[in-house]
Amino acid sequence: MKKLKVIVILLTILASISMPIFSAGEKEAKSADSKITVWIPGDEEEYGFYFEALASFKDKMAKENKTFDYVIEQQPWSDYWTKLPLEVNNGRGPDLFLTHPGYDVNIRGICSELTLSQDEKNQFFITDLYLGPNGEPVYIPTTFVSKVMYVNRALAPNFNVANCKTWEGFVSELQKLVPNSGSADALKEGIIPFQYSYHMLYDLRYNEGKTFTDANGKTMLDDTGFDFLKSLDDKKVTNYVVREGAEDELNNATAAVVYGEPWMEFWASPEVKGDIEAFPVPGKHTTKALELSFGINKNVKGERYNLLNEYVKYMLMDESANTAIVKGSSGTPNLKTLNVKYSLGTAGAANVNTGASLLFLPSQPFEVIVKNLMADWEGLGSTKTREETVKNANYAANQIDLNVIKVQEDLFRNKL
Amino acid sequence: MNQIKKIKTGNKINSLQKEDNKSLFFIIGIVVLILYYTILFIYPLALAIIRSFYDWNPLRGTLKYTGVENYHNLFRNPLFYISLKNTFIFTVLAVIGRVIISLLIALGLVSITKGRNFLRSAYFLPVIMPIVAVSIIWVWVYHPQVGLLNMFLDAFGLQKQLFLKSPNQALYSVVVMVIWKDVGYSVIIFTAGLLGVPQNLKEAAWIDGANRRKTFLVVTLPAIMPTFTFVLITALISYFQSFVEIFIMTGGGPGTSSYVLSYLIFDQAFKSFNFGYASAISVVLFTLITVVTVIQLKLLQGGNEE
Repeated sequence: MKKLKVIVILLTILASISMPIFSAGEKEAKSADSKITVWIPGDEEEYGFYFEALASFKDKMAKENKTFDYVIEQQPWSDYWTKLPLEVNNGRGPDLFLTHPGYDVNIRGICSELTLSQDEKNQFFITDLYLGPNGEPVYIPTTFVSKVMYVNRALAPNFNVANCKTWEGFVSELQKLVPNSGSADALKEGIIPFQYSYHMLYDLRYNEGKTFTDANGKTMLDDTGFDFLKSLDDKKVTNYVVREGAEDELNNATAAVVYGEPWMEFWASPEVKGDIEAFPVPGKHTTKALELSFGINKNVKGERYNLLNEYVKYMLMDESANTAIVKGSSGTPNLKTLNVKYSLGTAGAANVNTGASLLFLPSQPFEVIVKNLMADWEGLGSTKTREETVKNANYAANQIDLNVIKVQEDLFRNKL
Repeated sequence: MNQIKKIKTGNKINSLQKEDNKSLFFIIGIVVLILYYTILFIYPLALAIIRSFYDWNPLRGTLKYTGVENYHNLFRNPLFYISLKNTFIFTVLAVIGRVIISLLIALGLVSITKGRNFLRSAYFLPVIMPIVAVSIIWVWVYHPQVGLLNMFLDAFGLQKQLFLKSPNQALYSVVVMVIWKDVGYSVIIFTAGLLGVPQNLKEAAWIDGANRRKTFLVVTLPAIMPTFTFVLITALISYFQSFVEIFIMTGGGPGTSSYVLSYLIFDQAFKSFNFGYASAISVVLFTLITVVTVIQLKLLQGGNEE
């Protein structure tokens, strides 16, 4: 009996250790059937243009006697970028999925390369930013989207956007809004003239002619832009640390001007929606993000792959579908022949009228480093010196993959 | 005689059967316990230790042996030392605050009879509230413009504070919240411990002329030392691993001013996707907690023996 007890206990230990080991590993590839699974990290209201593109592609294929159906699964944004590569790397995951340049580090490796002829590639301004192992693109930008400024006309009816082509002009306009400044346009107490996000540090840096990486891909983070940001606090046009983020300040009508994203216009609260006007970010350079074409699961082969490749080409080159995607993002198209028009004062118009923009979207780990770089510096309330903050940020940056930053900066390194 | 023999044999068989049933129950219990600890504790711990020597990114499917490179990078990382310092500050302040305040409250509770149960429940209420909900509420309590605390400060003519928005105040603000939330748990334990102190010992001390302070130091405190040790050690282990409150209330910020080791692990694993490096940090944290706990046990139990 005693021997039996010991044997049972040992077998249990062995089984419990073995279970996780044998459960790991790749699953069988999905069997070919008529359902295409698609992952999108948002709902139809947010990404209506993608849903429309999927539907119109299905109709187009039906006319060619290729019938199939979609299974569209929405995943929360916060889970999406970890769940997606984990699923695909384990032989599962969707056939088609939304991609994002900020997460390129993790998702490029799970995508199949696209099959495009040289003529097809020539239709775009840029196709070779995100290449697979064989030198073919895995996803291609559909839309270029710049950061924009928003002014709430109900709070600052006389704010002169025409004077905001330079940072100096922009700040002089903001100073007129400072509460108790004696200006006729001064805001009431509790409302600040301006709120920004850490993304503005990118614009300030490129405005100085500096990049974040050198030609060898090493970090070059320093305190460029710090003095300007400190001056904004000193002039009382903003209070970055204490106030809420730019989007909250915009939606709560507690900041007259915010440095924001084009989608903020779409998602603005009903109370401010009619009051906000977009205009280009000041300065000679602003950073430009991308919306990308969908990715194809690297495990998908044969006819199924061909169908998905056709969808991506449709998404990139069909004028109607592409226009909806570009307009939905308030951006400018990568497709050379596409001409998208926006009404004055919208984020789209600000994008179109943005001056020399640099193609840049940082990876998410890099964004965290830049965000901490700003917040850690004594000039904005911390106790760390400028030197210590920069040293820490450079150390952290050297631990991550900076190649994605370097590749983008190589496109404009000598043009700053 | 044969009948008696049969009865005796029958009894023996019955008691043997009962013994077998007990053994079976024992085996099942042990099996379940082993399964639980192996799957949920030993296996993940072993995996974390092994993978801390790898460049491991399951999102990219990379698993490359790098030796001690993760530890080398870790011990050269300024953010590691910031996080370590903050972890110690957070833990020491939270433990001391929780232990002292809960002991004082418990001493007060045992000195009354009316309303003791009600007050005990009232103190325990924050303990059973979900930490996420409490953290979110306290973010608003600390709000620099519309928060409850700043309203009080303003009402008394004092300067408003930034609390969670200040790099110098953020960590301490979180400490205050965790003490408020967790003190009730220790109050319950201390109350039980204090009620277990033999009354005749206290009476003997009073007869010998000891005042209340001396009675507490000489009689009560030594009597509740096992309880004290338990509260201290569990609080220490818990606060060394604090994550949720930092994640929700400060996000490690402003900047990196409230980074603690557990948040650094999260940051490296789920923001930088550097799972091998994060495993190395978790191994260091585990070692730290083990060493501190052992030292604490030796000191406190050594004191008990004396």
